[in-house]
Amino acid sequence: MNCRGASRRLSAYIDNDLSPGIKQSVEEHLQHCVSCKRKLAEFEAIVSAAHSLAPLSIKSGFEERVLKAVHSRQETHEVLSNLRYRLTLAGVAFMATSAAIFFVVGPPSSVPLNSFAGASDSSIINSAQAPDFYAHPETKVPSFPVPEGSNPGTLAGNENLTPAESIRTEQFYGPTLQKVNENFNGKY
Amino acid sequence: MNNGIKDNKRPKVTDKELMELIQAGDERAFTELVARYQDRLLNFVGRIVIDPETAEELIQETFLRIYNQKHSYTPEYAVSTWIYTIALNLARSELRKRKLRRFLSLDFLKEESDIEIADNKSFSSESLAPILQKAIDSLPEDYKTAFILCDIQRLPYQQIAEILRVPVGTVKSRINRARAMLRDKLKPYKEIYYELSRGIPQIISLH
Repeated sequence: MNCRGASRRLSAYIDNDLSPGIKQSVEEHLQHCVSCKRKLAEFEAIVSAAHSLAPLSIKSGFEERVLKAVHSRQETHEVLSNLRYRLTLAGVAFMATSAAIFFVVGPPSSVPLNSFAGASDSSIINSAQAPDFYAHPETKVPSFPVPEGSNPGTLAGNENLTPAESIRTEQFYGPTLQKVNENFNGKY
Repeated sequence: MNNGIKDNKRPKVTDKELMELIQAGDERAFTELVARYQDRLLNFVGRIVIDPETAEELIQETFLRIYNQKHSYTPEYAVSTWIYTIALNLARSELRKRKLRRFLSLDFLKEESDIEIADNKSFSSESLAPILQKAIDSLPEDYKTAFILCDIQRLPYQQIAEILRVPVGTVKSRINRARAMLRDKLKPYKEIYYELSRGIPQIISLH
């Protein structure tokens, strides 16, 4: 084995990570090569110095600090998830109430229907399911807008539906309520 | 109720047994795990981020994650591997944050200073430690973490490979390169650390 072969194996030699045959070749080379022998000594000295680095020590009381942090984070999680539940429920109730009000009372008369739907978006106005308040103010509409394939319940005869009851009317909300349920069940 | 954790007469609870207790919600077991690993983590994370306050924050965050994700530990890995991996990820995030901060503050335009030779030419084993630490700190991140896990934490190659998520061959090569780079950087101090490694902890003067 020459210097090149030996010197690139010095690290593995220190860690006793060479097969017996290779290890022997390295040792034979080291016996007569001063520069490789010196290089090995320097490697060993660095590793030894690293071993001897004074071990650092954490300040006392660390375990208590960690436990305290664990508990305070648990409390924060509980507060947040509780808040989130309440906000989502309030948000749904708000939507239900305003939707109910909208469909029962109709849009403000000073606002023409086109501008509500958006100037460029006439698809809703022209679709068969679009409410035509001016023609039939007493029209009850199932939902707005109605997604493809859903089975809209009707508000007919149900003007007195409270927001809480509306929430349970899955058909009224279609996909929206499903999304709310996903948030409850999975995450918190 | 004595479950064997603090009792010296009974065999010590293993790390895996501790983890099972922690997963069952045992807080005392968690405290015991913190006690077992806090110093080890400091000698790992602390040598990567250097600043002791940051190190302690990162270690605290490591234990918080261990607690909150206790169910993601599976016994196919050693508990220590899992803990080191979490700590390493946090340390790396910290280093990335620092790089970004340095970049944004335009500090990177300043030249990296090489390790300076002290003006006074006498050294002792105490003065070598910061020099060695500085040399380790100046290594590229991949070599630095491999070196610390091998030569400061004294972990086997296989475990280092699991923590760093690289093949064992890569670990060996990084350790080799790290040691070679350190040898280069410490050339001015060669005589000192060479003598010190032979157990001569006296003040040495260079003339």
